Amino acid sequence: MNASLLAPAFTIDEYYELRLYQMIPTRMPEFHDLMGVQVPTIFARNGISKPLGFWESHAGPLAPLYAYVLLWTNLDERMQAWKRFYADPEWIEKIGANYAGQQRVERSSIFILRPSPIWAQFKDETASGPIEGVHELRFHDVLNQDPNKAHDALAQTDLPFLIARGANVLGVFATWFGTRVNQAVTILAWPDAATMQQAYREHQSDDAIIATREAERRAHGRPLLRGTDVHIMRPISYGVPQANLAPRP
Amino acid sequence: MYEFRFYSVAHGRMASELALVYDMAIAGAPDVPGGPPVHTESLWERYGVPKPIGSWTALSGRRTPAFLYIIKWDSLTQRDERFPRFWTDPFWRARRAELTDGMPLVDSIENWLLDPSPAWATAREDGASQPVGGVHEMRIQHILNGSQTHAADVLGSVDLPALQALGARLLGVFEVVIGPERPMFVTMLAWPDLETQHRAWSEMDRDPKIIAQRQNERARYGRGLFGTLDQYLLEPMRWNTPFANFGVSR
Repeated sequence: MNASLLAPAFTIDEYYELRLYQMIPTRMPEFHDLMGVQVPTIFARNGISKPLGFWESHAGPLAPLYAYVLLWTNLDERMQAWKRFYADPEWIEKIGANYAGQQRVERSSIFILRPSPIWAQFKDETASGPIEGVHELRFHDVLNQDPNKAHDALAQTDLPFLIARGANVLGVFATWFGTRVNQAVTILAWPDAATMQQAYREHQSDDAIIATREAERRAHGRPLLRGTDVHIMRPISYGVPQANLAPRP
Repeated sequence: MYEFRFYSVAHGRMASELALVYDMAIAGAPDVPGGPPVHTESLWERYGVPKPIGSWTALSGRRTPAFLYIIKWDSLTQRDERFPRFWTDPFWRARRAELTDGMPLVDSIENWLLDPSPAWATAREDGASQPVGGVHEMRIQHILNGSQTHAADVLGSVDLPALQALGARLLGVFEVVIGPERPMFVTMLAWPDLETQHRAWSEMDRDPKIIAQRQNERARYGRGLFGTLDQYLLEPMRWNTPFANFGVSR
Protein backbone atom coordinates (compact mmCIF):
# COMPACT_ATOMS: atom_id res chain seq x y z
CA MET A 1 0.00 0.00 0.00
CA ASN A 2 1.32 3.42 -0.93
CA ALA A 3 2.04 5.30 2.29
CA SER A 4 2.10 8.74 0.71
CA LEU A 5 -1.40 9.01 -0.72
CA LEU A 6 -1.68 12.70 0.10
CA ALA A 7 -3.34 15.31 -2.05
CA PRO A 8 -1.07 17.31 -4.38
CA ALA A 9 0.42 20.60 -3.19
CA PHE A 10 -0.61 23.99 -4.55
CA THR A 11 0.04 27.69 -3.90
CA ILE A 12 -2.35 30.54 -3.18
CA ASP A 13 -1.17 33.96 -4.33
CA GLU A 14 -4.27 36.14 -4.68
CA TYR A 15 -6.05 37.69 -1.71
CA TYR A 16 -8.39 40.66 -1.46
CA GLU A 17 -8.53 42.49 1.85
CA LEU A 18 -11.90 44.13 2.43
CA ARG A 19 -11.84 46.79 5.16
CA LEU A 20 -15.16 48.06 6.50
CA TYR A 21 -15.07 51.01 8.88
CA GLN A 22 -18.17 51.88 10.83
CA MET A 23 -17.74 55.65 11.12
CA ILE A 24 -18.88 57.85 13.96
CA PRO A 25 -21.73 60.03 12.60
CA THR A 26 -20.54 63.45 11.34
CA ARG A 27 -16.88 62.35 11.41
CA MET A 28 -16.51 60.99 7.86
CA PRO A 29 -16.06 64.16 5.74
CA GLU A 30 -12.60 65.09 7.06
CA PHE A 31 -11.56 61.43 6.97
CA HIS A 32 -11.42 61.72 3.18
CA ASP A 33 -8.53 64.15 3.40
CA LEU A 34 -6.59 61.66 5.51
CA MET A 35 -7.32 58.62 3.33
CA GLY A 36 -7.41 60.24 -0.09
CA VAL A 37 -4.59 62.77 0.19
CA GLN A 38 -2.26 61.93 3.07
CA VAL A 39 -2.29 58.15 3.35
CA PRO A 40 -1.40 56.96 -0.19
CA THR A 41 2.30 57.83 0.05
CA ILE A 42 2.54 56.37 3.56
CA PHE A 43 0.86 53.20 2.31
CA ALA A 44 3.25 52.98 -0.63
CA ARG A 45 6.48 53.29 1.33
CA ASN A 46 5.34 50.63 3.81
CA GLY A 47 4.45 48.09 1.14
CA ILE A 48 0.68 48.58 0.99
CA SER A 49 -0.23 48.91 -2.66
CA LYS A 50 -2.78 51.36 -3.96
CA PRO A 51 -6.31 50.30 -2.90
CA LEU A 52 -8.44 48.95 -5.74
CA GLY A 53 -11.37 51.12 -4.75
CA PHE A 54 -12.82 53.32 -2.01
CA TRP A 55 -16.51 53.62 -1.17
CA GLU A 56 -18.83 55.21 1.32
CA SER A 57 -22.25 53.95 2.28
CA HIS A 58 -25.18 55.42 4.11
CA ALA A 59 -27.54 52.58 3.30
CA GLY A 60 -26.98 49.26 5.00
CA PRO A 61 -25.39 47.63 8.04
CA LEU A 62 -22.53 49.53 9.73
CA ALA A 63 -23.60 52.88 8.18
CA PRO A 64 -22.08 55.40 7.98
CA LEU A 65 -19.64 53.00 6.36
CA TYR A 66 -16.24 53.64 4.79
CA ALA A 67 -14.93 50.74 2.71
CA TYR A 68 -11.88 49.89 0.64
CA VAL A 69 -10.23 46.89 -0.95
CA LEU A 70 -6.54 45.92 -1.16
CA LEU A 71 -4.90 43.22 -3.25
CA TRP A 72 -2.20 40.95 -1.76
CA THR A 73 -0.17 38.01 -3.01
CA ASN A 74 0.98 36.85 0.43
CA LEU A 75 -0.64 37.21 3.85
CA ASP A 76 2.57 37.25 5.87
CA GLU A 77 3.67 40.23 3.79
CA ARG A 78 0.28 41.78 4.48
CA MET A 79 0.73 41.43 8.24
CA GLN A 80 4.24 42.91 8.10
CA ALA A 81 3.19 45.81 5.87
CA TRP A 82 0.37 46.86 8.20
CA LYS A 83 2.66 46.63 11.22
CA ARG A 84 5.17 48.89 9.50
CA PHE A 85 2.42 51.29 8.48
CA TYR A 86 0.95 51.59 11.98
CA ALA A 87 4.43 52.29 13.37
CA ASP A 88 5.24 54.93 10.72
CA PRO A 89 5.78 58.25 12.55
CA GLU A 90 4.17 60.22 9.76
CA TRP A 91 1.00 58.11 9.98
CA ILE A 92 0.90 58.57 13.76
CA GLU A 93 1.32 62.31 13.35
CA LYS A 94 -1.22 62.62 10.52
CA ILE A 95 -3.91 60.53 12.15
CA GLY A 96 -3.45 62.39 15.43
CA ALA A 97 -3.85 65.74 13.68
CA ASN A 98 -6.78 64.51 11.60
CA TYR A 99 -8.65 62.98 14.54
CA ALA A 100 -8.05 66.12 16.65
CA GLY A 101 -8.72 64.31 19.91
CA GLN A 102 -11.93 62.62 18.77
CA GLN A 103 -12.47 59.21 17.23
CA ARG A 104 -13.63 58.94 13.66
CA VAL A 105 -13.97 55.15 13.40
CA GLU A 106 -16.26 53.36 15.84
CA ARG A 107 -15.33 49.79 14.78
CA SER A 108 -13.78 48.04 11.82
CA SER A 109 -14.48 44.64 10.30
CA ILE A 110 -11.74 43.13 8.17
CA PHE A 111 -12.08 40.26 5.77
CA ILE A 112 -9.56 38.38 3.71
CA LEU A 113 -11.37 37.31 0.54
CA ARG A 114 -10.41 34.90 -2.17
CA PRO A 115 -11.67 35.30 -5.72
CA SER A 116 -14.68 33.10 -6.35
CA PRO A 117 -14.15 30.35 -8.93
CA ILE A 118 -17.06 31.88 -10.85
CA TRP A 119 -15.63 35.41 -11.08
CA ALA A 120 -13.57 34.73 -14.22
CA GLN A 121 -16.64 34.04 -16.34
CA PHE A 122 -18.04 37.49 -15.52
CA LYS A 123 -14.89 39.46 -16.27
CA ASP A 124 -15.25 41.63 -19.32
CA GLU A 125 -11.68 41.67 -20.60
CA THR A 126 -12.51 44.41 -23.11
CA ALA A 127 -13.69 46.79 -20.38
CA SER A 128 -11.35 49.25 -18.70
CA GLY A 129 -11.47 52.59 -16.94
CA PRO A 130 -13.31 53.72 -13.83
CA ILE A 131 -16.82 52.42 -13.13
CA GLU A 132 -19.06 55.05 -11.59
CA GLY A 133 -22.72 54.75 -10.61
CA VAL A 134 -24.31 53.08 -7.61
CA HIS A 135 -22.36 50.14 -6.22
CA GLU A 136 -23.63 47.31 -4.15
CA LEU A 137 -21.71 45.08 -1.73
CA ARG A 138 -23.55 41.88 -0.85
CA PHE A 139 -22.68 39.14 1.60
CA HIS A 140 -24.61 36.03 0.69
CA ASP A 141 -24.96 33.43 3.40
CA VAL A 142 -24.22 30.13 1.67
CA LEU A 143 -24.68 26.47 2.44
CA ASN A 144 -21.46 25.61 4.27
CA GLN A 145 -21.58 21.97 3.34
CA ASP A 146 -20.58 22.84 -0.20
CA PRO A 147 -20.05 26.58 -0.71
CA ASN A 148 -19.21 26.10 -4.38
CA LYS A 149 -22.80 25.05 -5.02
CA ALA A 150 -23.98 28.50 -3.91
CA HIS A 151 -21.33 30.19 -6.06
CA ASP A 152 -22.53 28.09 -8.99
CA ALA A 153 -26.11 29.14 -8.29
CA LEU A 154 -24.99 32.77 -8.42
CA ALA A 155 -23.21 32.12 -11.70
CA GLN A 156 -26.03 30.21 -13.33
CA THR A 157 -29.08 32.00 -12.00
CA ASP A 158 -28.68 35.27 -10.14
CA LEU A 159 -25.80 37.11 -11.77
CA PRO A 160 -26.93 36.57 -15.41
CA PHE A 161 -30.40 37.78 -14.38
CA LEU A 162 -28.96 40.95 -12.81
CA ILE A 163 -26.49 41.58 -15.65
CA ALA A 164 -29.35 41.42 -18.15
CA ARG A 165 -30.98 44.21 -16.13
CA GLY A 166 -27.98 46.53 -16.00
CA ALA A 167 -25.53 45.18 -13.39
CA ASN A 168 -21.77 45.28 -13.96
CA VAL A 169 -19.83 42.66 -11.98
CA LEU A 170 -16.86 44.31 -10.27
CA GLY A 171 -15.94 41.22 -8.28
CA VAL A 172 -17.12 37.90 -6.83
CA PHE A 173 -15.39 36.50 -3.77
CA ALA A 174 -15.54 33.98 -0.95
CA THR A 175 -14.71 34.98 2.63
CA TRP A 176 -11.47 33.25 3.65
CA PHE A 177 -10.63 34.83 7.01
CA GLY A 178 -13.03 36.94 9.06
CA THR A 179 -16.57 36.65 10.28
CA ARG A 180 -18.87 34.10 8.62
CA VAL A 181 -16.48 32.20 6.42
CA ASN A 182 -17.60 30.77 3.08
CA GLN A 183 -19.99 33.63 2.40
CA ALA A 184 -20.17 34.64 -1.21
CA VAL A 185 -19.39 38.34 -1.61
CA THR A 186 -20.42 40.27 -4.69
CA ILE A 187 -19.57 43.83 -5.65
CA LEU A 188 -21.85 45.04 -8.43
CA ALA A 189 -22.07 48.41 -10.15
CA TRP A 190 -25.36 49.82 -11.43
CA PRO A 191 -25.83 52.87 -13.66
CA ASP A 192 -28.24 54.31 -11.09
CA ALA A 193 -30.39 53.37 -8.11
CA ALA A 194 -33.63 53.10 -10.11
CA THR A 195 -32.13 50.44 -12.40
CA MET A 196 -30.93 48.48 -9.38
CA GLN A 197 -34.28 48.68 -7.62
CA GLN A 198 -36.17 47.56 -10.69
CA ALA A 199 -33.78 44.62 -11.20
CA TYR A 200 -34.29 43.34 -7.64
CA ARG A 201 -38.06 43.87 -7.87
CA GLU A 202 -38.03 41.53 -10.85
CA HIS A 203 -35.54 39.16 -9.16
CA GLN A 204 -37.88 38.69 -6.21
CA SER A 205 -40.92 37.90 -8.32
CA ASP A 206 -39.31 35.92 -11.11
CA ASP A 207 -40.91 32.49 -11.47
CA ALA A 208 -37.73 30.76 -12.65
CA ILE A 209 -35.69 32.07 -9.72
CA ILE A 210 -38.39 31.13 -7.22
CA ALA A 211 -38.46 27.63 -8.72
CA THR A 212 -34.65 27.39 -8.48
CA ARG A 213 -34.70 28.27 -4.76
CA GLU A 214 -37.49 25.77 -4.18
CA ALA A 215 -35.48 23.02 -5.88
CA GLU A 216 -32.50 23.93 -3.68
CA ARG A 217 -34.67 23.68 -0.60
CA ARG A 218 -35.84 20.22 -1.62
CA ALA A 219 -32.28 19.06 -2.36
CA HIS A 220 -30.44 20.61 0.59
CA GLY A 221 -33.02 21.43 3.27
CA ARG A 222 -32.49 25.16 2.66
CA PRO A 223 -31.82 27.47 -0.25
CA LEU A 224 -28.16 27.65 -1.29
CA LEU A 225 -28.21 31.44 -0.85
CA ARG A 226 -29.94 33.25 1.98
CA GLY A 227 -29.59 35.83 4.74
CA THR A 228 -27.94 38.40 2.57
CA ASP A 229 -26.41 41.59 4.01
CA VAL A 230 -26.56 44.45 1.52
CA HIS A 231 -24.60 47.70 1.51
CA ILE A 232 -25.50 50.29 -1.13
CA MET A 233 -22.34 52.29 -1.73
CA ARG A 234 -20.98 55.23 -3.71
CA PRO A 235 -17.45 55.10 -5.07
CA ILE A 236 -15.35 57.98 -3.72
CA SER A 237 -13.85 60.38 -6.26
CA TYR A 238 -10.22 59.70 -5.26
CA GLY A 239 -10.68 55.92 -5.51
CA VAL A 240 -13.26 54.96 -8.12
CA PRO A 241 -12.69 51.27 -8.91
CA GLN A 242 -11.73 50.11 -12.38
CA ALA A 243 -13.65 47.54 -14.41
CA ASN A 244 -13.08 44.03 -12.98
CA LEU A 245 -11.48 45.72 -9.92
CA ALA A 246 -8.26 45.96 -11.91
CA PRO A 247 -5.40 47.92 -10.27
CA ARG A 248 -5.99 51.65 -10.62
CA PRO A 249 -3.47 53.53 -12.78
CA MET B 1 -0.51 34.01 14.29
CA TYR B 2 -3.46 32.23 15.87
CA GLU B 3 -6.36 30.95 13.75
CA PHE B 4 -9.60 31.01 15.68
CA ARG B 5 -12.36 28.84 14.21
CA PHE B 6 -15.85 28.98 15.67
CA TYR B 7 -18.56 26.74 14.25
CA SER B 8 -22.23 27.29 14.89
CA VAL B 9 -23.32 23.66 14.65
CA ALA B 10 -26.70 22.62 13.27
CA HIS B 11 -29.00 21.33 15.98
CA GLY B 12 -28.56 17.62 16.50
CA ARG B 13 -25.27 17.43 14.59
CA MET B 14 -22.65 18.01 17.31
CA ALA B 15 -21.71 14.33 17.70
CA SER B 16 -20.90 14.12 13.98
CA GLU B 17 -19.01 17.43 14.03
CA LEU B 18 -16.83 16.26 16.95
CA ALA B 19 -16.23 12.88 15.33
CA LEU B 20 -15.13 14.56 12.12
CA VAL B 21 -12.61 16.86 13.84
CA TYR B 22 -11.35 14.07 16.09
CA ASP B 23 -10.78 11.76 13.14
CA MET B 24 -8.86 14.40 11.18
CA ALA B 25 -6.90 16.26 13.89
CA ILE B 26 -6.31 13.64 16.58
CA ALA B 27 -6.81 10.03 15.48
CA GLY B 28 -4.13 8.11 13.59
CA ALA B 29 -4.60 8.49 9.84
CA PRO B 30 -5.53 5.62 7.54
CA ASP B 31 -4.00 5.19 4.09
CA VAL B 32 -7.26 4.74 2.25
CA PRO B 33 -10.72 6.12 2.95
CA GLY B 34 -12.36 3.93 5.55
CA GLY B 35 -9.14 2.00 6.13
CA PRO B 36 -7.43 1.15 9.44
CA PRO B 37 -5.27 3.80 11.18
CA VAL B 38 -1.88 2.76 9.81
CA HIS B 39 -0.16 6.06 10.77
CA THR B 40 0.61 7.30 14.27
CA GLU B 41 0.22 10.86 12.98
CA SER B 42 -3.22 12.31 12.34
CA LEU B 43 -4.22 13.25 8.82
CA TRP B 44 -3.77 16.93 9.74
CA GLU B 45 -0.24 16.24 10.94
CA ARG B 46 0.53 14.43 7.70
CA TYR B 47 -0.34 17.68 5.90
CA GLY B 48 1.63 19.76 8.41
CA VAL B 49 -1.51 21.14 10.09
CA PRO B 50 -0.69 21.42 13.81
CA LYS B 51 -2.90 19.94 16.48
CA PRO B 52 -5.10 22.75 17.87
CA ILE B 53 -3.90 24.36 21.11
CA GLY B 54 -7.41 23.74 22.41
CA SER B 55 -10.85 22.55 21.30
CA TRP B 56 -14.11 23.29 23.09
CA THR B 57 -17.87 23.07 22.97
CA ALA B 58 -19.91 26.00 24.28
CA LEU B 59 -21.95 25.64 27.48
CA SER B 60 -23.38 29.14 27.11
CA GLY B 61 -23.21 31.98 24.62
CA ARG B 62 -24.60 33.04 21.26
CA ARG B 63 -25.04 30.86 18.20
CA THR B 64 -24.99 27.62 20.17
CA PRO B 65 -24.59 24.71 19.82
CA ALA B 66 -21.05 25.77 19.05
CA PHE B 67 -17.69 24.11 18.63
CA LEU B 68 -14.41 25.99 18.44
CA TYR B 69 -10.69 25.46 18.26
CA ILE B 70 -7.53 27.54 17.94
CA ILE B 71 -4.49 26.66 15.83
CA LYS B 72 -1.11 28.34 16.21
CA TRP B 73 0.73 28.86 12.92
CA ASP B 74 4.33 29.94 12.35
CA SER B 75 3.26 31.82 9.22
CA LEU B 76 0.19 32.36 7.09
CA THR B 77 2.08 31.23 4.00
CA GLN B 78 2.54 27.88 5.73
CA ARG B 79 -1.12 27.89 6.75
CA ASP B 80 -2.35 28.52 3.24
CA GLU B 81 -0.06 25.87 1.81
CA ARG B 82 -1.23 23.25 4.27
CA PHE B 83 -4.85 23.69 5.31
CA PRO B 84 -6.33 24.16 1.82
CA ARG B 85 -4.30 21.22 0.56
CA PHE B 86 -5.72 19.08 3.34
CA TRP B 87 -9.23 20.14 2.25
CA THR B 88 -8.63 18.41 -1.07
CA ASP B 89 -7.68 15.12 0.61
CA PRO B 90 -9.87 12.19 -0.49
CA PHE B 91 -10.19 10.67 2.99
CA TRP B 92 -11.30 14.00 4.45
CA ARG B 93 -13.88 14.36 1.71
CA ALA B 94 -15.14 10.81 2.14
CA ARG B 95 -15.41 11.01 5.94
CA ARG B 96 -17.11 14.39 5.74
CA ALA B 97 -19.63 13.15 3.19
CA GLU B 98 -20.32 10.11 5.35
CA LEU B 99 -20.88 12.16 8.52
CA THR B 100 -22.85 14.99 6.93
CA ASP B 101 -25.04 12.48 5.09
CA GLY B 102 -26.61 15.13 2.90
CA MET B 103 -27.46 17.55 5.71
CA PRO B 104 -25.12 20.39 6.77
CA LEU B 105 -23.22 19.98 10.02
CA VAL B 106 -22.69 23.71 10.56
CA ASP B 107 -24.82 26.79 9.97
CA SER B 108 -22.01 29.36 10.08
CA ILE B 109 -18.26 29.58 10.60
CA GLU B 110 -16.16 32.35 12.11
CA ASN B 111 -12.52 32.25 11.04
CA TRP B 112 -10.53 35.00 12.68
CA LEU B 113 -6.82 35.74 12.91
CA LEU B 114 -5.58 36.71 16.36
CA ASP B 115 -2.34 38.20 17.63
CA PRO B 116 -1.22 37.65 21.21
CA SER B 117 -1.98 40.72 23.34
CA PRO B 118 0.69 42.35 25.52
CA ALA B 119 -1.76 41.67 28.40
CA TRP B 120 -0.94 38.00 28.03
CA ALA B 121 2.78 38.61 28.53
CA THR B 122 2.06 40.75 31.61
CA ALA B 123 -0.20 38.28 33.40
CA ARG B 124 1.01 34.92 32.12
CA GLU B 125 1.79 32.06 34.50
CA ASP B 126 5.26 30.62 34.49
CA GLY B 127 6.14 26.97 34.72
CA ALA B 128 2.68 25.70 33.84
CA SER B 129 3.09 22.49 31.89
CA GLN B 130 -0.09 20.52 32.62
CA PRO B 131 -3.42 20.51 30.80
CA VAL B 132 -5.94 22.76 32.52
CA GLY B 133 -9.39 21.23 32.85
CA GLY B 134 -12.44 22.61 34.62
CA VAL B 135 -14.73 25.16 33.03
CA HIS B 136 -13.23 27.60 30.55
CA GLU B 137 -14.42 31.11 29.89
CA MET B 138 -13.99 33.01 26.64
CA ARG B 139 -14.53 36.76 26.72
CA ILE B 140 -14.78 38.50 23.35
CA GLN B 141 -14.82 42.14 24.31
CA HIS B 142 -15.04 45.46 22.53
CA ILE B 143 -12.20 47.80 23.37
CA LEU B 144 -12.31 51.60 23.25
CA ASN B 145 -10.98 52.36 19.78
CA GLY B 146 -7.56 54.02 19.79
CA SER B 147 -6.84 52.88 23.36
CA GLN B 148 -5.87 49.27 22.74
CA THR B 149 -2.43 49.70 24.30
CA HIS B 150 -3.84 51.21 27.45
CA ALA B 151 -6.59 48.56 27.60
CA ALA B 152 -4.04 45.74 27.30
CA ASP B 153 -1.97 47.33 30.05
CA VAL B 154 -4.96 47.60 32.39
CA LEU B 155 -6.19 44.10 31.58
CA GLY B 156 -2.76 42.59 32.21
CA SER B 157 -1.85 44.53 35.34
CA VAL B 158 -5.22 45.11 37.06
CA ASP B 159 -8.05 42.85 35.92
CA LEU B 160 -6.26 39.58 35.21
CA PRO B 161 -4.25 39.54 38.49
CA ALA B 162 -7.51 40.17 40.39
CA LEU B 163 -9.16 37.27 38.56
CA GLN B 164 -6.16 35.02 39.17
CA ALA B 165 -6.36 35.83 42.89
CA LEU B 166 -9.99 34.69 42.75
CA GLY B 167 -9.13 31.32 41.21
CA ALA B 168 -8.80 31.90 37.47
CA ARG B 169 -5.95 30.50 35.42
CA LEU B 170 -4.92 32.36 32.32
CA LEU B 171 -4.88 30.49 29.03
CA GLY B 172 -4.29 33.44 26.72
CA VAL B 173 -5.25 36.96 25.66
CA PHE B 174 -5.50 37.98 22.01
CA GLU B 175 -6.36 40.93 19.84
CA VAL B 176 -8.53 40.36 16.77
CA VAL B 177 -6.49 41.20 13.64
CA ILE B 178 -8.83 39.83 10.97
CA GLY B 179 -12.43 39.64 12.08
CA PRO B 180 -15.49 41.74 12.87
CA GLU B 181 -16.15 44.71 15.13
CA ARG B 182 -12.52 45.48 15.87
CA PRO B 183 -10.94 46.45 18.17
CA MET B 184 -11.77 43.38 20.21
CA PHE B 185 -9.82 41.33 22.72
CA VAL B 186 -10.34 37.62 23.22
CA THR B 187 -9.49 36.45 26.75
CA MET B 188 -9.46 32.76 27.62
CA LEU B 189 -9.62 31.77 31.29
CA ALA B 190 -9.86 28.43 33.08
CA TRP B 191 -11.84 27.98 36.30
CA PRO B 192 -11.94 24.94 38.57
CA ASP B 193 -15.75 24.96 38.36
CA LEU B 194 -18.78 27.16 37.65
CA GLU B 195 -19.23 28.02 41.35
CA THR B 196 -15.79 29.63 41.52
CA GLN B 197 -16.33 31.48 38.25
CA HIS B 198 -19.63 32.90 39.42
CA ARG B 199 -18.30 33.94 42.83
CA ALA B 200 -15.21 35.52 41.29
CA TRP B 201 -17.13 37.80 38.94
CA SER B 202 -19.50 38.73 41.70
CA GLU B 203 -16.50 39.75 43.82
CA MET B 204 -14.90 41.61 40.91
CA ASP B 205 -17.94 43.90 40.91
CA ARG B 206 -17.19 44.79 44.54
CA ASP B 207 -13.37 44.96 44.36
CA PRO B 208 -12.26 48.50 45.35
CA LYS B 209 -9.26 48.38 42.98
CA ILE B 210 -11.45 47.43 40.03
CA ILE B 211 -14.07 50.06 40.92
CA ALA B 212 -11.36 52.74 41.17
CA GLN B 213 -9.85 51.65 37.85
CA ARG B 214 -13.21 51.92 36.05
CA GLN B 215 -13.77 55.35 37.60
CA ASN B 216 -10.37 56.49 36.34
CA GLU B 217 -11.28 55.32 32.85
CA ARG B 218 -14.59 57.17 32.89
CA ALA B 219 -12.87 60.32 34.13
CA ARG B 220 -10.29 60.13 31.35
CA TYR B 221 -12.32 58.84 28.39
CA GLY B 222 -15.94 59.47 29.33
CA ARG B 223 -16.45 55.70 29.20
CA GLY B 224 -14.72 52.48 30.17
CA LEU B 225 -11.83 50.96 28.22
CA PHE B 226 -13.79 47.70 28.02
CA GLY B 227 -17.08 47.76 26.16
CA THR B 228 -19.77 45.24 25.44
CA LEU B 229 -18.90 41.62 25.85
CA ASP B 230 -19.73 38.35 24.16
CA GLN B 231 -19.06 35.78 26.84
CA TYR B 232 -18.95 32.01 26.47
CA LEU B 233 -18.53 29.29 29.03
CA LEU B 234 -16.73 26.40 27.41
CA GLU B 235 -16.09 22.75 27.98
CA PRO B 236 -12.59 21.72 26.87
CA MET B 237 -12.49 18.53 24.84
CA ARG B 238 -10.82 15.69 26.71
CA TRP B 239 -8.77 14.87 23.62
CA ASN B 240 -7.49 18.43 23.20
CA THR B 241 -7.46 20.09 26.63
CA PRO B 242 -5.29 23.21 26.53
CA PHE B 243 -2.27 23.88 28.71
CA ALA B 244 -1.84 26.98 30.85
CA ASN B 245 -0.55 29.78 28.56
CA PHE B 246 -1.76 27.49 25.78
CA GLY B 247 1.55 25.70 26.16
CA VAL B 248 3.29 28.62 24.50
CA SER B 249 6.66 29.31 26.07
CA ARG B 250 7.76 32.82 26.72
